[in-house]
Amino acid sequence: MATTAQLEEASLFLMQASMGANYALIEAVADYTGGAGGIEGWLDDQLSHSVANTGTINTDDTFYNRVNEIWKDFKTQAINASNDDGTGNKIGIGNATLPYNFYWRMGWWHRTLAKARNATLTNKNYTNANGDSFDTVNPKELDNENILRHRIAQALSEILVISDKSILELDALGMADFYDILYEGAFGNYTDLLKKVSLHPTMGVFLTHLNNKKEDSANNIHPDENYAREIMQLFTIGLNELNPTTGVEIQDASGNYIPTYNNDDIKELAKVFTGIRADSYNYVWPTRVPGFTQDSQILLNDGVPKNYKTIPFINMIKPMKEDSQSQHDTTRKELFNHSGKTYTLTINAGGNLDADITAAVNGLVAHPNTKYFIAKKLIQQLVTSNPSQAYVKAVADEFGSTGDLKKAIRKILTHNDARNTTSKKLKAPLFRITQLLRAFNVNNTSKKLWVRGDMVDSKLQHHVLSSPTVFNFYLPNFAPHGQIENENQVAQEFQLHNSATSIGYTNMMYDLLFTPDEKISLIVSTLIDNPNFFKTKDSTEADDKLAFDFTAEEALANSTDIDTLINRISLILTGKNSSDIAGEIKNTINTKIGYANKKWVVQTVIFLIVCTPQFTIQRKR
Amino acid sequence: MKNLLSRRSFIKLSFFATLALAGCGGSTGSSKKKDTSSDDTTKSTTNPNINKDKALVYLILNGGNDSFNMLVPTNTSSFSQYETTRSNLKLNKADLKPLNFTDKNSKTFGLHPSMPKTATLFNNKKLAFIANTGPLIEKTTKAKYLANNVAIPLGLMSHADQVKHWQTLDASKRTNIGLFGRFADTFQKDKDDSQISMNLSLSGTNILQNGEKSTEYSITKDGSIGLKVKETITASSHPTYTPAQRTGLQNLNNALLGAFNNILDKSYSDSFEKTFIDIEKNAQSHHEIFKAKTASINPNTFVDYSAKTTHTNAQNSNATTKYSSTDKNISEQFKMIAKAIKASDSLNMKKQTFFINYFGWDHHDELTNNQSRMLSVVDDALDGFQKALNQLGIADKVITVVGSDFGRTLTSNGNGTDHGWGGNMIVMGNDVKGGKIYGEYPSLALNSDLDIGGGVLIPTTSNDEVFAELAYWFGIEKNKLNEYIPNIKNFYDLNSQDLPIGFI
Repeated sequence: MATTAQLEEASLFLMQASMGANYALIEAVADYTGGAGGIEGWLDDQLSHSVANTGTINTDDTFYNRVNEIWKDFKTQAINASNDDGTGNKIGIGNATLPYNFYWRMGWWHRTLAKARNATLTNKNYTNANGDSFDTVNPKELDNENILRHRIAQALSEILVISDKSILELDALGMADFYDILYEGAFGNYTDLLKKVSLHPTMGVFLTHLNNKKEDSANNIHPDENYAREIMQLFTIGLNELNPTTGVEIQDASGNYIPTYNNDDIKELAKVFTGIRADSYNYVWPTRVPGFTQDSQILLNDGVPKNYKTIPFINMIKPMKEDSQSQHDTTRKELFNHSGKTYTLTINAGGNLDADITAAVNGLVAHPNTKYFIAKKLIQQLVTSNPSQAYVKAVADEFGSTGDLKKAIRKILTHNDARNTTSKKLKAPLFRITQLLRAFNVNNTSKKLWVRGDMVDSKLQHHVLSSPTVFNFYLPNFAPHGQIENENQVAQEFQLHNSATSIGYTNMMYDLLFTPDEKISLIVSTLIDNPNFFKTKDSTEADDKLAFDFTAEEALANSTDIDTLINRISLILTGKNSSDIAGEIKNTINTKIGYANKKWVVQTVIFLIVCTPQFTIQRKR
Repeated sequence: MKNLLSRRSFIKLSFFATLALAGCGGSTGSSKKKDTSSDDTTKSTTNPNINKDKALVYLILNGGNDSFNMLVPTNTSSFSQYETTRSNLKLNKADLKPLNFTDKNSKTFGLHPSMPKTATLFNNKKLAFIANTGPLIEKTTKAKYLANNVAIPLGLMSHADQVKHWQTLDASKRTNIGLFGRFADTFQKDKDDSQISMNLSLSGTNILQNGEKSTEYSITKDGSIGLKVKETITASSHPTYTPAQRTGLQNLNNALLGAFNNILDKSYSDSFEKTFIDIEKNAQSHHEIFKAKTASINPNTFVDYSAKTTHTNAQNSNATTKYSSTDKNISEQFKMIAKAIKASDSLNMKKQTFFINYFGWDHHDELTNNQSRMLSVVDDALDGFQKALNQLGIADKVITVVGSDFGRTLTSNGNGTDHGWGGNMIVMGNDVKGGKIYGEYPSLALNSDLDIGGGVLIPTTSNDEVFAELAYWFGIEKNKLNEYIPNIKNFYDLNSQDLPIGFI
């Protein structure tokens, strides 16, 4: 039996290492007996699980598969609802059946809410209008493996950014597949991951290196520089030179930081990302694109207008390929070859696209800046806004020159600073929501946990793969005015805590907890509402509405056990087996609410705790 | 290091540049006008605008508007140059909306086909353009740029940096203190916590409105945001409830609110915890004030997107693009701004700034169709906003300015354009001397004296000059402009009788 202190530490650890934990998971980690036991043993177990099933990724454990199933289900409904003959020639139906971003969001929420829920969530097979049979949840979505992997994939998605606030909103499947790369590569090498990311069509569309041609001075066409710039600034070396042994930003004699690259370097690197095309044409309604054959090869100079060589007309799953019409720039590329630079990157002439990208990615990850730059970003995502120099260095050394993510993550979560009293961060809004929903085992009758997520996005300005730009949701050095700034600390998540979102957050928590029918107000859609194809039914489906499972808590919702109830909820949500506002909560319930409505008692305890900074600020207590 | 200058050599150079440029005055060209509107008073040291009510509205087209397709030269020789350079991105001359203006180089102009209302505002002298403007640290020529002997903005042609320079007006630094933040540091210097910030944002936290001491107040198109638990439960708010259920819920909410307020009133020693609570506390009290003061102001809805779904490119009737929810919100955000300006007295805001960050302009790809749609949104929004201001009788104290990270490359990357430097911006308002294009509209020939490669144009008017003029209009003393816009002296003599550009 774990001690209170062990449970408290496990609870804090799971805020860092999962998308949210219920009481059972906290106990399981605290009581873990494998390997080194406890947190460390559990962590090693998590790091040992792969997503491969005899060499290939287990399709039951992919985001793509779940999103695809959800989309196919809606697509079938849309076709049936319109009596379409399948040609897509009826007005509206072609669009209605495209894989819009909300299918991606539904699939992400479904997997996020299902994970590690084997005790409370069971599969419910269903058959759609076409007679196709689906599993609502499968064993790989439910088991206790890869809880950490899921959290790391999310952290990586805020570093290697693509966003559905772009034309990617039309491609749920591509985004799901991109997320699978992060999920699959979460414990691998950063070089392998970055190469896959660089060649993924969603990144090619988002940062526009897809369909990029080499220099053609006669026609005033020059390579697109977007990806070349961002892969350096955001995905590897960052803007300023770092001391190779300490990771601290270097200043020159005048106290200025030294830029890592200049515009010439961008132009050189842009040559690498040329001659890139999508794998093939691919579209759900082929008759709508003039003159192309499904799955036929794309050539950059094949005469088909360029707007047919991107979403939604192309294969967004298979890696991008080299064009066969000599559009890749095969000249020698030299980066950082100017005065004052000790690290240079040269890519020899004659390489093909794959060889050049491999060389560029390996060279950029091996740049002495990268290990510190990515180590700090990962620590800030998981543990603390202001990591010590020693903490960053310890993680960077594990990360090394090829980017060993497994070792780096293990170090992040086991370092002394991971759970000391100075490490702290504001939980990003999305994690406050996932933690609450997972903590109290949300469930529905249909077992389709297909949350659309729009409300989280619009009210809290935070959602998965949904930042306003490639720069993610927050500036890395953001500090709100006042005490935090005066302490020379940064707190990037506070950029999402303003006069609109702070009240929006409290209101959302109220809505989640106190909706009239005691069901959760997050929209879950499972049916197309004929004739408004996009307007999926979201209010009429009692089976789909989510509800918390407060069974264990309601058993304590009486005047005798109220202290135990407050402590239990506080442990789950704040990592401390007591609440700073226990007196306030008790007084409110005892004098104003009473114990007649047990749900109200539980909801009140939760609501008041999630309103406190004890919940919103993640730290050892 | 061909194009970048080390920081140390910049410091040395900018010292000489300052000496060399002192007294040179403002922008190039004959469009520079004397500040006749306040001729008598600019001679004295006191700015007559200091105590006047002003509202400055800033719309950023985030991502980089391709503004050489927004404002297009139409005289024969310039248009033929335009056609050659822009190749597959060129607009048809016949579709452009004519502007009644000829510049000193005998150039005539037309606006993008999606902007007929903006053309009318221009021709009615309510609106002007400033040509080829962008961040600069000092006056820059191609020769100096290529010879590395001029200080150039940090992170030239990167979104994050350029859009920051358009908010900080300090292109030599990476800072998160914005110009409007500095305004608020001045005009709300000793602001009590109960007073709402004069910097109102429709786009959340931003650099522009962030000062040393001040921050923005975030609102939405629907106004400020208040606590749900505080709302009164009525038969109309909860129609399915029995009276007893309503009473029960009201009692519950009252209890929750009481406890919530006590949580807010606790003292927190940890900086993160304290900051979290302080922001929420202020948000709630400010909401009560803002809501009360704006509730009864209801201008007409001049622009309604509720029934619009797609935009058709005027150049190509087969090319339709869908309005995004972002597009649809822009005009509603402007309407909320009009309400807040009307309420400025009761909100105790003599000076107000407003910020809308309109995302989605990074048209590396599919430029023509997307830009056509989004410029039509801007066109509707500006026209609707000016109408609302007129209806409310507050148009005299408002200037609206539309800027963007950068202009885009003149050359095509096949289907779009990449990050450029100089671009064309819009200023609108009764105090603007409209119907003119200020600054110097550049040659669009490739390899011109301004083209540093691929049609990236060196700005001929710094955005420092544009915002210095707006700052003066807003009420900043002329001899203190450099405290707000650090490099302004490189472009403008603070002792000059004239304003930097003369569009006001």
